[in-house]
Parts: sequence; structure tokens; C-alpha cells
Amino acid sequence: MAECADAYPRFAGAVPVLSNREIAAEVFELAVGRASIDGVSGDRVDALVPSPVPGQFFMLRARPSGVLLGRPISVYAHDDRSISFLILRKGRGTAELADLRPGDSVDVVGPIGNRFALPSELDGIPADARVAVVGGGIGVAPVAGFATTLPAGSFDFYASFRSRPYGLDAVEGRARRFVITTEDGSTGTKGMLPAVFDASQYDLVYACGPTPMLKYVKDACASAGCRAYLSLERHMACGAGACLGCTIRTTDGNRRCCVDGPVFDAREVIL
Amino acid sequence: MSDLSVSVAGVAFRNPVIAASGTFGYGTEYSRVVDVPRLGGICSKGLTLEPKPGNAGQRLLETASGLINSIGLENPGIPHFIENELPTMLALGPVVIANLSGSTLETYVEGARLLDATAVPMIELNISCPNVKAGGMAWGLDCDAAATVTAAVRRATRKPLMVKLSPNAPHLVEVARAVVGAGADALSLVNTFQAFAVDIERGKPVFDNVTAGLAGPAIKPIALRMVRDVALGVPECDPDRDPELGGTKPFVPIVGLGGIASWRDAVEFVMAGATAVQVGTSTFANPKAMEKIVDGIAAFMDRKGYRRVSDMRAIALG
Repeated sequence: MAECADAYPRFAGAVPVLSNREIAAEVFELAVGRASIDGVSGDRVDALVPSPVPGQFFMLRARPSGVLLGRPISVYAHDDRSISFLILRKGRGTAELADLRPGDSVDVVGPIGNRFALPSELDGIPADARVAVVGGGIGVAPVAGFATTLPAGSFDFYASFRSRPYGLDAVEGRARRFVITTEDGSTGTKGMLPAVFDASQYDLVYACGPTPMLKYVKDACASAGCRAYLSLERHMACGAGACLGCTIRTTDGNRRCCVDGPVFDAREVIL
Repeated sequence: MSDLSVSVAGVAFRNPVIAASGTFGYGTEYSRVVDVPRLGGICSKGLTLEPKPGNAGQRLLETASGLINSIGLENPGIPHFIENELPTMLALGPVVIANLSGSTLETYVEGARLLDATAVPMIELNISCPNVKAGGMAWGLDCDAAATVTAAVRRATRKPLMVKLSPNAPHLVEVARAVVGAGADALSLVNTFQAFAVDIERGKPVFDNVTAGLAGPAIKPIALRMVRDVALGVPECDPDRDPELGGTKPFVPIVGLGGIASWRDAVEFVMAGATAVQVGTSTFANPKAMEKIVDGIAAFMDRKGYRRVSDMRAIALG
């Protein structure tokens, strides 16, 4: 099992937008303050968004919004006063988030879900384990955030994109090996993850990205006898474990992506 | 100060705001962000005798002011619920309502028997789930089927029995009359509207189960009209029969639901004839929606001088 942190959401309210900038085509880095505000008046109220741990996410919705539900967005980075997210502009909800400007506010619910367990917390993983961290597209956000909590030089980092890479600033100098693929060949190796990744080189892999990539990681790691933890994504409504809309099929029955995950042991999930 | 307490089929609720089935789990999932004891009641996730894994494939799709779901009654089964979830739910404070579903008449009846032996104060008979192949909504579409399952469950339990109606019934008022005639103590309406969505990239239905249930603010005006229809069309639902108002004939209260997002929506349902309301999809949009609705109803009643919820009930029916 992946480590269970405080899985259920702990805060629901409005926070201010501190910054929002486009860091790649259709990808925005959104930073929000952790001190809650009254969403109508903009006044600060006495509540602080609890500190997330790497792997957790929030439900985010712009204020005001024309959509009904928040969108599940992984934490990219955080400090004492802010939390930042990478937003891929895809539908109406993420378009509203991409359009937010400093001074706007956003409804947040979270932090939600479990976290990536550190190698030292996992049974059967040796202290000198060979570790790889893998991100694909917008899925780079949670694994990049997690990688910054690992000792520098203790892991290899793989990132695969269609075109121009993003979200790697905090990781690049910390990875033992730092490997990028792009489908258009504009940066790094031309192609996708299988062109550069050899699971037999590792004891432990952490990954987040599109489902086909995660399925490849799962299968490659199973063949190589390597452990893997995958951060999964589903359509979500409640983000609280109540609606059962984000079910993940596992060898042990259904699990809720939102609060039983989003991080799952690759051996358990059926993709 | 206005008095928000209401009675539904002899069960006392501290206020008329109830979490709708399938939107509030088993009461504890939201407990860190919702002040759960402030709610009037909580309907459990739809329960069946046997555990159900629910539907495969994508289960949710947001649409304009709405949410289509295809959960398919995923639940651990009634024996598991009674042993594991129910004791915790009962300790939360709000009235617990067990939402009972089934595939065959026999499984409805056996589920009702098991629930009858528990401390749960009320059963909501679900004859309106559009997302299961066997049973579910099929029981709620015509009068004979609805009366048959209601009467059978009625015989299996002495608990107050609320029957949850489907808006997909071609003749909703007739189905309402039929279940009242078969022994329903209360009616809740409406469940989700049967809907369809296409994944245009694949040229296929979005949902593996093809059709699915639409909820959320998009359905509110239609749900409200249906509450009005039943309030006007079923003699037992006439609020003048309420024994609390001195009525002596049998009274079957309506619990209204369908897209309620604000206290204004809730008041509309009450003024259209509902004794209490359920809130579902809006909790997903804002976990604190039900608390805000409770506060908003109280402030409105104070402003208008309504001392009890029944003072404004059905006043818009003329």
C-alpha cells in the first residue's frame, strides 16, 4: 500500500491568487495564498490551508465560475505562505483557472489524498535502492514536487512531453541522471518514455502521467521485478470519498482515486 | 427565532435539510469540512442486499449546470452496512435514512427485513436508480411495479418508509398515488433524469452503461414542477392533512430534491409543497452548501415572520 496520509480534505474555502503565468503552451503555473479570504469581500478570515504533502491534490474552481465542480489538481510546490499548481488548459474549468489573475480568488478543497511514501518508509526497499522518478506531460507536477523532497543525487528523473518541457526547474540540479523526451524531438531524445527508460536499472519507480504511460511503467516494472508507485487521475465530483465517481479497479476490489489514492502500488491497480 | 424542526412520517428532524443518497457517503467522509451535526438528516449511499462493485468505465461527466453520473449503486451490501457503517452514522447526530435498493423483489424484501432489525429510524425505498441493469428504476416507472415493491417492503418493515420516485416515470403522479396506496409513509422526489452523452472522438457513448442519471441545478425547475404536481395531485400529500396542523386524515409528506443549490431553492421546494428537502450534487460543488442552506432558511423565516417551516409550506400552490 502507498502511505496513507490524512486522506480526507481538511479545508474548504476561498484563497487569493498570488500569481499565474503561462510557462509553456496551454500550461500555467498558478500560485495561491494559504491564508483564507472571504470569497465575496476579499477580507482575510482566520483560517489557513493545511500544509500538503507530496502526492496530494486540491479541488480548484475559479471565483466566480461558470462550472459546477472543482477540478482535481496536484500540488506542484508549496511553502509557508503559498501553494502552487500546474494547470493544463483543457476544458472550461481549467480555462477559468488559466485566466485567473493576481487579486482574483479561487475556491479550494483539500489537501486531499495519500502521498508518495519515501523509499526509506517502504518495506523491502534497501537503503541504496536505485530510484527513478517519472513524469509525463502535466503529470510532471506531483512527481517534480515529490522529487524535491528526496536527497539530491539519490534518484534519476525522466520527463516526457509532446513538445517544450516545463515544470522541471526545481528538479534539474537534484537528479543523478536527468532525461527528457519530446515527441517532436525539440528537446532531449525524440520519442516517448520507452525510448529511454529501462526498468531493470531500478528497484523503485514513482510515476505520474497519461494512463498509457502509466500502463507501460506498470508492465515494465512488473517484468523487471521493480516496485512502482503510480499517481492516477480520474474524473471526480466530491473529492471526499463520498460519491464513488473516481473508482480505481484493483486486485483487492474498488478503491477511490481521491482518498484511497491518488498514489497506488502498481502491483495492485488494474489499468 | 424561527423553529426549523420538521417531522417527516413521525420522525423528528432538527431542520429540513437532508443529505441526498449517494452524495454524502455514510456521513463521515465530509466530516472535516462539514459541520455534520448541523444537518437535519443523512441518506446513506444506495444499499443492496449483496455487495455491488458498480459500473465500469467513466462514471462522471459535468454538463451545463449539471452532473451526469453512472455509479451503479456501488455499495458493500446491507449486512456490511449494518455491521460497519451504520453504528458510526447513527452517532453523528442527524437522522439516518437507509436508502434501500434491490434487483429483485426478494432482495428488496430481504434487505428491508435486515434493516428493520436495526436502530435506523427511517428507510428510503429507491425505485428510481437509472444506472443498474436489473431492478432500480424499472420498479419506479409504472404503477403496478411501484405498488408491488412498496407493498412487499411495507410488509417487511415497521420503519417509516419513504419512497424515492423517478422523474422518468411517464405518469409520475399516478406512480405517487400507487405507492401511497401501497403503504408509503412519505415520498421523496425526484431522483436523477435519464440522460445520454457521446464521446465524439471515439464516436461512442461516454458511459459503458450507455444512459446515465443527470442531476444538479439544471434539473431544478423540472423537479420543482414535479413536486408541485404531486402535492396537488395526491390527496394524501395535501399539507392541510398534516397532523401537526390538526389534520385527521392520513398524511404523506413530500421530501423535495433535484438541483437544490441555495436556501432560495430550498424555500421554493417548501413553498411548492415539500416538508423537507434533500441536497445532493451541490455538496460536491460546495461542501458547505447544506450548512449555508440551513442558515439561509432560518434568516429568511425570521425576515418573513414564519415561525415554523409549515407556515410557508405549499403557499405557492394557491
